[in-house]
Amino acid sequence: MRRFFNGLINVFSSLGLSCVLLLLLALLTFLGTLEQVDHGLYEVQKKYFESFFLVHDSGAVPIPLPGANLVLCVLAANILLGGMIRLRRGWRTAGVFVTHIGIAMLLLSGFIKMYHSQDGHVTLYEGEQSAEFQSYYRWELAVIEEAGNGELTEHIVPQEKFLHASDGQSVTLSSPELPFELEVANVMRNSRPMPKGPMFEVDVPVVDGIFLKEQDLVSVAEQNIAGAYVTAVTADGERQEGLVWGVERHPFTVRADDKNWGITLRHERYPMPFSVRLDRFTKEEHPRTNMPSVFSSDVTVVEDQTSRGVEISMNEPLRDEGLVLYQASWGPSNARPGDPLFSTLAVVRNPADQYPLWACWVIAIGLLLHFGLKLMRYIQIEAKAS
Amino acid sequence: MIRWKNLLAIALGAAALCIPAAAQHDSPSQGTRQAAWSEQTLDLAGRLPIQDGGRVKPLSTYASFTLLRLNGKRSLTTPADEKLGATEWLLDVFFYPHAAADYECFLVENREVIAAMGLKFDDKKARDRFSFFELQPGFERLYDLADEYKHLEDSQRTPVQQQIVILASNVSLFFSIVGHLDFARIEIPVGADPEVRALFDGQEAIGYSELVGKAKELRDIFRRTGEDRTSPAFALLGLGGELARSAETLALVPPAASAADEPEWLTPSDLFWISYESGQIDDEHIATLTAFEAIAKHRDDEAGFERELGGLLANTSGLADARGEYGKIGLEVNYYKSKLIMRSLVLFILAFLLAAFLWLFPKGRVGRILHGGASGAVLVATLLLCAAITIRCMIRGRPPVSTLYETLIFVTAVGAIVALITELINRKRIAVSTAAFLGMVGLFLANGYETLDKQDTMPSLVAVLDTNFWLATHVTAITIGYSAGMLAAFLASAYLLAKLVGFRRTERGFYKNLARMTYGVLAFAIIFSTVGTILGGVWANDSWGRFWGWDPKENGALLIVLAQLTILHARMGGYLREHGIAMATAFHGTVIAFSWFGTNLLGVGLHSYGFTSGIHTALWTYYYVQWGIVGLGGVAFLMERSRIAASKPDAKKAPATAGEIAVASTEPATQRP
Amino acid sequence: MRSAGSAAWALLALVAGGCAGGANEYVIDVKRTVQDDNGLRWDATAEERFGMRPMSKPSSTTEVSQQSSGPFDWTAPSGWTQVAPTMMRVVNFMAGEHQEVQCYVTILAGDGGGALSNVNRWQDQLGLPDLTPEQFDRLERHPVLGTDGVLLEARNDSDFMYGMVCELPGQAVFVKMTGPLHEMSGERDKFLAFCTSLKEKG
Repeated sequence: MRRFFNGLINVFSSLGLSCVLLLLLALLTFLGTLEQVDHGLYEVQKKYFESFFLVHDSGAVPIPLPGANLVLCVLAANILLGGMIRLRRGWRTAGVFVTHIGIAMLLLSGFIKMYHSQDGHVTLYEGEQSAEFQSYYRWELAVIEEAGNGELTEHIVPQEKFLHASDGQSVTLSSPELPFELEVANVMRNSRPMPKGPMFEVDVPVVDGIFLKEQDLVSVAEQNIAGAYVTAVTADGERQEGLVWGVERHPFTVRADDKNWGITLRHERYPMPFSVRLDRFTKEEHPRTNMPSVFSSDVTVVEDQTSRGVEISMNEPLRDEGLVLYQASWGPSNARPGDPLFSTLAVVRNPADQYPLWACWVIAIGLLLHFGLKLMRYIQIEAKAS
Repeated sequence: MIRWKNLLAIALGAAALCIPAAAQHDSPSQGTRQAAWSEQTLDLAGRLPIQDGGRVKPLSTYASFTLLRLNGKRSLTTPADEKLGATEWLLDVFFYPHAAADYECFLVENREVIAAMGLKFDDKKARDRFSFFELQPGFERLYDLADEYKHLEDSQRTPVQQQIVILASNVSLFFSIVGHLDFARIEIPVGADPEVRALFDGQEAIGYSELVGKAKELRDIFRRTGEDRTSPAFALLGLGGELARSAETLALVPPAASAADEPEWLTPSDLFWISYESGQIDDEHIATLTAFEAIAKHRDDEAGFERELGGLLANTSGLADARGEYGKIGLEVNYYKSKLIMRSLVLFILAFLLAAFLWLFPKGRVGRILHGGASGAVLVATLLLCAAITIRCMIRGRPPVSTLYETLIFVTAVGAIVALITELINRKRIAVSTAAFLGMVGLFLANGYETLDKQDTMPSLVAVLDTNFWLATHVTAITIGYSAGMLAAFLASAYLLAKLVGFRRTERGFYKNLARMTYGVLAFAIIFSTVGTILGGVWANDSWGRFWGWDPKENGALLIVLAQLTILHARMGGYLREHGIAMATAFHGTVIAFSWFGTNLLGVGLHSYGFTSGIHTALWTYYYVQWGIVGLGGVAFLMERSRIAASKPDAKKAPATAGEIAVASTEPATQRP
Repeated sequence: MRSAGSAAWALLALVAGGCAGGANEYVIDVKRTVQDDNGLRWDATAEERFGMRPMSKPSSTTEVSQQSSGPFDWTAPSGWTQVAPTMMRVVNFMAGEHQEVQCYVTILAGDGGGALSNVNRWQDQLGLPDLTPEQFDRLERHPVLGTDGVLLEARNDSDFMYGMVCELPGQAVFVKMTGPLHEMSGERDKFLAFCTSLKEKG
């Protein structure tokens, strides 16, 4: 048993394993790069880089491969065992040791980011304010009721609970606080509402002359807009059916218990510990061109009755309370001069935000130490030789 | 009669080309230049400032990239067999538009484009140049087709469709500049109306500058007379508006206000509309227009032309200087005039030839002279290149690398410097020869890239790139990584080819040295590519909120790092020895090429800058050559092993242990799986 | 060794994936209270909710009432819609029941390559053989812009074309009308009327 264990340690700390892992990672990176041309970044990232195992379709034969997630896990063990714990100590390996610490930090930051971060965006027109940001890809269903004092109560259903309700399946959502059950069916991952014309028939229900048309999934994942049919069924059996669509401007409203209830499908939202108000968005172009030279958003950060003004611009994010807000984009792209513009701020909650920078310093120092010593020895040898 | 003909012509966007035959003898746009433009004229014209592509540049730069875009090169041969430089050509377009429309300045890469336009030429080659007049009957069809293809994505267009879109845009560009000075040469008849006449001191005909000066007054008369659209005042304004339309492309006039208040320069057209709407027109601006008119009048009189051109230059450069926008014009003019990169290329070629002879005649005095000559040529070439890069940095106020073109010259310079330092350390003549080769290839590619891309190589940068801190750190580091990696790949290729042909077969020291150099340069490369790649992530984290997004360019950089780390670890583990490392390092040259250019060709991601098929060809040529060398290296390895096996039957001892590092070994290379 | 490891990981991943499959009933247990920042509307119509607009005409065919453009005045026949001129088309119309017919005027400097070669260029666009000089001489002439315009009438299996070439001193003016066969009936008179109505401005 002990021998087996030692053998295992030997394998995990070996340079041979390092080479195999580096080559595998290179192969996955290469394939994942080429696949992006046809399948888009989002799908490729899930399949090649965030997975433990995958089957690559090479056209001729399917090739099973370990995913980059698995390779990196093993690589972390390899670096820890071979590159640090079992490394011979001394000046000759000091640089290598330091470099490996840096790489391990980098891997650690990657794992933290992958499992403990949230990202999304908050999009505001000038004058608008928000204390939430929303996902680019994930969806949620919300049932909304008025709570008085200008507040709303939202009952939230994450996408895992309803996104599979297609192909004749339906999902029933309920809550003791709601006077109805909600049946969700015909969920489409990419859809568009269209008026039903007299010249064609559709195989989904038509509500108020409008139906949801399923669209092919597109490779740019954030362009897929989910849609669904929802039916509110009250205790006395009354059914109210409607459409919900991922980027709808207003909710589908049902009446129950003499009250309005809004039902909406939207990108998943995350609360922020403060709210931001967009005061002014500035977009400048290089003179006489359409090439942007500066984007920036003047925002007010409001938190516990205090507020402060901040400018967020390209390469100059706002970091506050574990969140980072970046100037990401703006729109509408077809706006004419004078039209109101919106600004999209990317929002990321990443506990490992600054690790890569520190890791970079450590790695740079390690590499310089290692190769600097080597270079000095080499110069000495050459000097002796001549 | 003449008046409406002019209008008709202007409606086409190019008054100059449409003057009726009957009026040809006295039309100001007809005629041909009698003598070559003088040196003095070219110098003055070249220094005129123009705002184009978001920055203020000399007219000579504008002319040179415009001609490159239309003609595929920066010079042109006229039907009279005169060879013109770009500035000369632009002056002809401005002042002898009719003659210039006969110059074959439209390069059409494929005869099918001409056929698609419904034209037939029996005397043209498959790839040939055409004049404006030759193409003209097909314009209607050309624009129809281009409108249709414009809606396709670049990648979806066939080459012919792509060229049709390009040709249509080139024709539009020519249209927009060929009539640009019509305002300066056309005399505007005032008409008989006494009130309008009085406005112009009773003159029968006036110039555009005078019309611009009184545009507001004319408008007031028009308003006072009940907005009668048949009134003489309105007719005159209409004519001014039409002339203005043909001069709305080139922003040759700096505003009188500060650059912060009014960043956009003005065209002669803008001046008309500013005056028309506000009545506020600066005296300097009227003077600018008058200067253009005076120049146009003196086009056939060298001394007068030079004098008036000097006046215009003094006027606009003075305005630009007051805004702090003229300071670097002289530097840029001199940069292009000095042809530093071309001279550097010539020296690299010379050095390469000397180095080639050096390896043929390595011994004695001849060898020493050749070595000295090659080293000197490489040194001077590198210094010239560094000077060029430094001047570019000064002109742009930026770190050395911010465009793909600049990566090429920077990589070449850094590669040459690293090779020279290596040569300084070991003086084995290998590094300096590689430097010569690398310099030659690098600058050939840079020139080729510039010709294919046809864009100003000192462009304005989009917002996210507009950060000198990250350009100086991440971009510079990663580019140095490319450079050293490529140098290592070249050294390794030299190792493999030398082995293949049996060069100095008996000298173990030669190969050992080469291997050491390769390793040293590779180590240098690892530092920069690793740090550069991570810094790229840190930058991305600061501008988009994600350290790593698996974008193709990021992946490309990662691939380089992984390739280099694999080689390093395989060497440590003894899995690869001298020969194996050379093969792997040579192969990793194609990984660098993929990251540097190949990822841009994929057409996805944040770093794809838009590309041409010529680069595709060059890239694949390099892949095949480099893979060929690696393959031949494998052959050389097998040959060597069988030779050793034949001479030493008991030589097949066990491979070295993992701890024994290949570099210390003088044994023939052995590979272990 | 390695393959055993990855198999184990794969198994783990499969098990994890299996658990993620959704059930068909769910009790909502996430609730939160938010500010009604954007003023929730309870009475939006379906069109308002989805940002749909009532059907409207395409905006590219802005009707222009004026009877002059570029260097010309003219009288437009009934049923023709003037559209914005382009760089080449100084006067530009759409016609026909489904607006599939195009008619426009272009001007070229010089002789534009000569009337015969231009007529043949049009022939070529319809996939028809070149006219011989004799055939060209037999084409109808009409008085247009103070000169004799040459009228070409050509058709192939799907399209019909009327073309008028007028050679003026130093330039050539072309009027061309093309469209699908079924749309072109009755357009000949209108085309000729339009051509003869063209006048130099001023």
